[in-house]
Amino acid sequence: MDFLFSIPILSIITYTPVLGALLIVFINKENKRAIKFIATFASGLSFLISCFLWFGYDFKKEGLEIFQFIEKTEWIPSLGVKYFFGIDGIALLLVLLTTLLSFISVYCSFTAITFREKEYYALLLILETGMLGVFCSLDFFLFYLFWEIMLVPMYFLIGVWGGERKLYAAIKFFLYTLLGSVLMLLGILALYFYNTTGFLGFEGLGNPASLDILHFHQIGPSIPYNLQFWIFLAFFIGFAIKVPMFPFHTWLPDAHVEAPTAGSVILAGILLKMGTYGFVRFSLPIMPEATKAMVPYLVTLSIIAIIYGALVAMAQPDMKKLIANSSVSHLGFVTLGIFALNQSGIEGATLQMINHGISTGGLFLLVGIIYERRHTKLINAFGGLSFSMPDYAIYFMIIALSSMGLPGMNGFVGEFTILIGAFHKNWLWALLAGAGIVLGAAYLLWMYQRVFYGKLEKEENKGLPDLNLREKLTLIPLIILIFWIGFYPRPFFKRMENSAKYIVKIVEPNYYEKGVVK
Amino acid sequence: MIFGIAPALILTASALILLLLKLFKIKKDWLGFAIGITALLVSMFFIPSSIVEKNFPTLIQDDLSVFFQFLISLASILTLILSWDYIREGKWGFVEYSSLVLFATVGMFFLVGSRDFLTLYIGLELMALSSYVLTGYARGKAKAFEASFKYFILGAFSSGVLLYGISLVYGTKGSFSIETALKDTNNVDFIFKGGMLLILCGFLFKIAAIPFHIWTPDVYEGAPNPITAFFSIGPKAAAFAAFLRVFWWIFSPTTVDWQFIIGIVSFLTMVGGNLMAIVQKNVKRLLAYASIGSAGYVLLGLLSKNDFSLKGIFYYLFAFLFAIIGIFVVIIYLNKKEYSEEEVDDFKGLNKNHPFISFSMLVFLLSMVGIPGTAGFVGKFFLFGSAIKGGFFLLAIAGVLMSVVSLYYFFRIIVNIYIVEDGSIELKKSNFLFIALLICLFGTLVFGFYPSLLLEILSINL
Repeated sequence: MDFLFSIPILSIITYTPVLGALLIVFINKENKRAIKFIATFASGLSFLISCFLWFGYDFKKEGLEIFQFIEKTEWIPSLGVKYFFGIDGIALLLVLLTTLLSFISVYCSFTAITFREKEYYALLLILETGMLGVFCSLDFFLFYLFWEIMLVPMYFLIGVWGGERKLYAAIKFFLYTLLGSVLMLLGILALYFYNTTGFLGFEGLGNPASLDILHFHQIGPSIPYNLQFWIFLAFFIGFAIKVPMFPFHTWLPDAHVEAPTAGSVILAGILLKMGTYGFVRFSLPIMPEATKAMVPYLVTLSIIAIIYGALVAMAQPDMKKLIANSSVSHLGFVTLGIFALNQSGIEGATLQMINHGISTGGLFLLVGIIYERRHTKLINAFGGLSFSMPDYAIYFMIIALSSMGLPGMNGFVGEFTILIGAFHKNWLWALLAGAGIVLGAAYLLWMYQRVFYGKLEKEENKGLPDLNLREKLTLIPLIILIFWIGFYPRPFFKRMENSAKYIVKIVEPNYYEKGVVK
Repeated sequence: MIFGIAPALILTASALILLLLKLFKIKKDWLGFAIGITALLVSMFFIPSSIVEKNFPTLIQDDLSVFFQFLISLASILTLILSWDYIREGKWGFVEYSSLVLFATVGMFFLVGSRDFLTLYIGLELMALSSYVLTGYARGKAKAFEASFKYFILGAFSSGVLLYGISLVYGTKGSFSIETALKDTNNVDFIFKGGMLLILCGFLFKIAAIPFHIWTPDVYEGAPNPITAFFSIGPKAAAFAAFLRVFWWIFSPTTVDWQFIIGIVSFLTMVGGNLMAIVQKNVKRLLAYASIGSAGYVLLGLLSKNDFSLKGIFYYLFAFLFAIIGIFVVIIYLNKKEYSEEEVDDFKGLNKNHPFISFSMLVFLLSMVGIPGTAGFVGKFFLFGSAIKGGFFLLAIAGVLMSVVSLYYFFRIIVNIYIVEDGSIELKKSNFLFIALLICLFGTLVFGFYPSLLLEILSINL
């Protein structure tokens, strides 16, 4: 696999979709077959190439060597900005999730999108490039570029192809996330000046100008606490809005409900992970002292999100809204794992990021499928669907069970690992979070019962066609992953083990000496 | 030194030749256009080499002058390009128009290079007088006349304030030289301080900072579109350059009160301009308030005075030039009937038949907001950076929040272009406009993705 290190594989994966988008721009908009073919091909190619990363990533390396497939060239020398790509085990999994879900989103839209297809697929591909860039970047400037550019295609996906209140939802999404990211920009600037000349009240380190994230991992712990605190806050708002953590979550139900199916899948599956990824990549290693000091508050917010999100989900009459609010709850688990600040917490959180992408992405796909047939997402418009659409009912059952964390499926492994991590810190956290799992089972099963069981009474629901091959193909990869992670999560844990260790070593340098784990 | 003012001389000579053409009753529009563009291009060619070691007592030709003169020439060239169709349609004569633009440019050249209050004032007046005429150049249009008159009254008033300030400073220091007058400002009497305050007000008026901004929306709305485009960058950049010279030198750690005043003005300008833009229905008024807001960001750089400031001010103005002129190109494209109301709703459904123009508009607006990948982001990056480094945290936070607000009102236009799809729009067909559009788009994207192109030159020289 050595040849992988000599070619810029991450750049190839990242820019393949946008090249596809460029190609689509030059195609006549009436030629819909060609547009769909190119979109599928570009995102599929990106996915196939990214599969090599899975095998090529050497998970035995430790320390800074966990960052692999490095590409580094000068970009803006006077600012010390480099074009710097590289991934660790955590980013590796997220890159794979991104390429897979983007690929699925492209071909799940074939029949759902009936107007302005050309722009739709081009935007979807640009969005994919943006997301991949975020996970691959190891330079703040580059990272920020992708982080914000990505908002533009997402805005249009919601705004043009969305539901009734699409304009409101789209601009709310854009404003909220932009608000968070501009504050993050100030945090980045503060780090930049601290590293170089210093600024008002803070003496700088006098290093050459740099925005290299790995460099900041090293100087992070030496930043004085009061500066760390403010930088942490600036980053925190950006990430917390993206996750979204309670009480920054209000944009999420709107955006999810109004977005087209593929938009929801990507939003839930990948965009939300950027916030949690941001915590792992930036907040923990660069502002460790501030993070540790804030843990009680962060964990409180996470637990509130777990329970509150689940309760709100239970009360929703609309399937998409229900799933959207369940995301708040699931992401609460992820942040809980991250802020447990130990190996199992972070490993569990990373796995749960993947799991949530698979399960919730799958649920949104399923809702999209029924919406295409019935043009409604209201739970009480259905009932007894298992009679008219038996296959659909089975797929829905599997994915819903995975989402609520049934043992043998992916959700269980992730949540269990997170709970171990949380328990290490404080048993009460684990107890409260455990209550969230029960609630999760409640709202999903209740919804399932109302939609699929009972008598098939409504006339409109009687002649519904069952899943076709293309729709099954959107779900089968997810179901394979659900059982793979559920029964044999070892390959996943192996790949992120040293990456999690790298972060924990920075945040809690004494953690491994206590002999708590390994 | 003669080499140092070569660019200005070329422009003056060409402007005079254009006037002479008129005298000999030669009314060939293309000749006016060709001479104007050629003169600007030739002077632009000489600008980089015009730095001189030994300066005149009244003029200084250093890196700062060179950068600003370059920027101003670019703005003037673009203005001439996008005026072509407009002036031709109105049959107002391009020859004089061209000479007026050149005279305004010369005025700005002197303004940015002045090291003496008198030169500064003469440059300013040359620029302002040409601008008043240009505003009303569409003869016979009531709105243009109104705008021109308003601009003239308020402009003359502000020049008066500036001049009064200059005379007070001269009275206490006995010298017109900016350096001499501003040397040793620790022990000064209130007359000097009053004079400087008046000078400050004069400048704030020219850059349309709040509370001296009232004239801007009316003038923007009333002036012909190509001229509005010119106003929104050319004279503003020149005034900023002069502002920089006068007030960068006066700032010293002991005279904190200036920083305080400019800080307050910067805050008001950023917040007020952006908030007032939200409620505007007319695109030109919206842009007027947006550019007021932008002046606030630039003041942020002027205030904090560090290595990021000059880079930020210059880069931001450069980005602003491409974005605002680009936006005006699109507005001119849309003008079916001159002085039809340029409403935000006029953009409805633009994307349907004109995807490229729509895309360009999107890029320009994103650059105004400061989304990465556009030149506007790099400019804001440096300006906010300079504020952070200077310790003006609250101003920096206000600045970034106002960027978010600007997204809101600019996206009202985007919604009309991309999302509302009723009716189709017929646009003018014009190669000149298209060239200007391409230049602006190219500038916005290239300087956005590859800032080094400009940044390395700035880093070495500033």
